[in-house]
Amino acid sequence: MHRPEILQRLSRVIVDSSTAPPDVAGVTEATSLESFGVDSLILIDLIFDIEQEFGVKLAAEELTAMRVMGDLVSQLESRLAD
Amino acid sequence: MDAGAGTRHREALNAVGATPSATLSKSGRVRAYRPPGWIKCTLMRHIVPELAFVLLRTLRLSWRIRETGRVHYDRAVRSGRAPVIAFLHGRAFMLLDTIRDRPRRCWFSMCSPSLDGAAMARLEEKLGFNVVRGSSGTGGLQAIVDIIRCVRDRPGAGACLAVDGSRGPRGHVQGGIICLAQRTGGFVLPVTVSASSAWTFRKAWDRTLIAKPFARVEVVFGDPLEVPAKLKSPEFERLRSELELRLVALQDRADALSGRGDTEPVRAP
Repeated sequence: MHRPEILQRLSRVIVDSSTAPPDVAGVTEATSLESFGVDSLILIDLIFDIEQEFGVKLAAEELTAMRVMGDLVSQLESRLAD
Repeated sequence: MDAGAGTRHREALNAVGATPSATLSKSGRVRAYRPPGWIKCTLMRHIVPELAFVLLRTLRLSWRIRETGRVHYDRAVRSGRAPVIAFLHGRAFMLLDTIRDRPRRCWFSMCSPSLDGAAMARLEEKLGFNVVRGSSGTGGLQAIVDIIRCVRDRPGAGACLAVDGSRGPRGHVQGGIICLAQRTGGFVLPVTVSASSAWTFRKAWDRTLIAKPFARVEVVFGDPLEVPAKLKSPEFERLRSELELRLVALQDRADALSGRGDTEPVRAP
């Protein structure tokens, strides 16, 4: 799966889970994860929504360490390639 | 400790240049953090759980246990959904064996990563629970994720959690239990216990209760709280505080049934 496709699917997942959803079309790899208003409880939703969408099991610590969408896309890209 | 008190506490420590691991005593003196010695570690990890296990099993043989609202539990289990059981810390010790006795074989629980948590984890393992380590302060997020995965991967499994955090405030329900129910069975079953005569650990934040030998023990199950899979923040908070109120009401009811008067009854914060 290529980065643009991962980003597109990931944006949909995050926008569905988060409290303050920005416009999906406006989400880029530079968009900060903080801008989605993700707190610890939404993070749990996100972990399982990503698992359902991509079949990738992320650890909570991995996700909290990420700053921008690009970090998450890179992580998913490498896990999907394995 | 509320968030404001926590900040003031840390500010007071920063003002005197204390190390991040230092603590402030009640009298305002700064105490350097000292890791527990090997004697305390051995006691808490190996001796205390063994003694607690024998004590719990022996006491339980003498208790006259009566269950109220058991129908809620039976109905929930018959529905085929994974049960998520919630109780308050102070009553956990007496409830563990009762929960394990249910006709489900695989229970997951959560204990804090502290030394106290190690003792409790070992006790729970001896009682047949699968323990995941974590608390609202440390590793709690990952622990909740791990429990959700374990319960989903094992048909017939359930989870039980002391819900008022690893360090209180007593009666304040943390949100993790709602997340857990959202992603597993879709309901939370509140339960509590009280006894006609009991020892109360008054200095402990959770006022742990242990029924005395031959006491009449009242286990009370509440109505299941339904938790939808998708929740937005206001609804999530409404369910969390609803559970809080239900647990407090349930504890009052259990205390009334057992005829026990608590000088400091738990109240929803």
